[in-house]
Amino acid sequence: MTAAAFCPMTPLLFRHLSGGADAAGDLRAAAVAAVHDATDGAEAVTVLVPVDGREAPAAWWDPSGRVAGGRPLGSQVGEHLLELAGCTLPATYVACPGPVESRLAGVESRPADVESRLADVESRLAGASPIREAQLNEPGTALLVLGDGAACRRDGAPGYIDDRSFAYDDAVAAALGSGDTGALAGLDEALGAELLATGRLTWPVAAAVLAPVSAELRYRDDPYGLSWFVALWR
Amino acid sequence: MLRLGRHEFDDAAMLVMAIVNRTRDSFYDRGATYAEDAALDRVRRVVDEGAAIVDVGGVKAGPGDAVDETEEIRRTVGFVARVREEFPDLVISVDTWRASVGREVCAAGADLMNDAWGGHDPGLIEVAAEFGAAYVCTHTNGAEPRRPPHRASYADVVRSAIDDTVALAERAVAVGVPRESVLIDPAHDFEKTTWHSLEITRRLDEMVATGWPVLVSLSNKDFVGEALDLPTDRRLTGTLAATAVSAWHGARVYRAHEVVETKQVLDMVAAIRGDRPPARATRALA
Repeated sequence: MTAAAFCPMTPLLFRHLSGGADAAGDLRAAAVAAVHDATDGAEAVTVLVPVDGREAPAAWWDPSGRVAGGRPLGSQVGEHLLELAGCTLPATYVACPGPVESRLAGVESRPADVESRLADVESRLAGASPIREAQLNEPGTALLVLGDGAACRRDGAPGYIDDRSFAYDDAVAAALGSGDTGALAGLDEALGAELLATGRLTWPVAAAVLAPVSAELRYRDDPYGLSWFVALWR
Repeated sequence: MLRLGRHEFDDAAMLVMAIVNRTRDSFYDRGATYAEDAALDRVRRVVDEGAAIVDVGGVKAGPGDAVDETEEIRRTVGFVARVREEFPDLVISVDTWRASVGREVCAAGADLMNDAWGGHDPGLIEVAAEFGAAYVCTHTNGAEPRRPPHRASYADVVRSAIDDTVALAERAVAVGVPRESVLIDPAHDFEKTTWHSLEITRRLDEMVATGWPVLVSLSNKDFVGEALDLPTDRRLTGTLAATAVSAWHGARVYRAHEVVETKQVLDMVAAIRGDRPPARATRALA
């Protein structure tokens, strides 16, 4: 693994979805830069996509046909970030649908036929052969890890207020900023689910295959009561 | 003909349903009519302003104060009885999702069950049927009561709204609610992004075409605020624009905070449609 970019999967990364004003310009810039830096010099990229629950819908459609297709939200955002970063490397999309030990599955694909490949992933989830660490940990392969922090940080947040969000997100930020794979892998999965944190599905997978020598937390904010993190590990 | 409990309305009528919140924390009035006397004053005013229906609510739609069944009953039942006594000709609606609350308010004189969470408690339909009350079928895409929407997705939001509300309407009729007493509501903002609510408004004629009378609840909602980038206290003009479009498409009932302005828009649209003669037309006629 050459490098990994950790990015949120908010639909607001699609510029047009917030209408006249850009609701996530700083975030998008940070995410695109991290994706660019992580994939620069790589031969391929693997994208980890959270797929579970209402906060990470496996069937994400945009109203009025503004974004085509019915793929998981995370895969659409991942593909969009790669495109914005000018990355044309072969991409593998790996759906991360739940507790990582038991339900991992993945297939090789290129951006052009991501849709059919992800449908394939979804149809195989139940009885799929578990993805092996070696498949993720190919030399020369960059990782794009999608996922958000807690979504229960204030009145008006997707999950209203849950005071446990603050410590959870602080722990995530510390782990992402220091490259602490043990801390990232050790996040409480059940608590993450209660806090609607989509990163709970992908961060432990990344932690299992990465051994960073440097780590940088480049962005952290929660303007809508849901934490967004951008980090780069090398 | 639309029958709301003991009241009947002809098919061209467009009705204003005035919001009367017995809550401390609703997003727009922020507890202004939480006290029973303040709420009763509000009823007197909206009746005077031309509301045909009052919609009494004891629980904020979004997250907020915990209101259990006992507290909701305390907030609504005695109040409904007082309104019934003072205004025998007024349609009294109660905004609740709980069958137990519905039973008590129907016994106290409510005419209409505004089930804002789309059949979450199936017993509420049975209560409406038992008491001969009308029933509103709301599109919430299966959301839990009071849970805010997050990354909601639809292949076609209008299709989903039609399919779900019509299915609920047929269920209501099957359970015994009179067919002429069932309304459908696409539920702007409920489990929807602003894009979804705008599309619902744009294509409301498709819901009207189902033949079920359509109720819209547009008043000062976030989709208006986000469309115009305005806070809750400055959304009246946008609300009225959405009201006019909905009226043009054929919606029948308008749940609103501002009765005078809403009624004026409905009267004007009715005049434009040719359903209502001008109040006084002498221009170029003398």
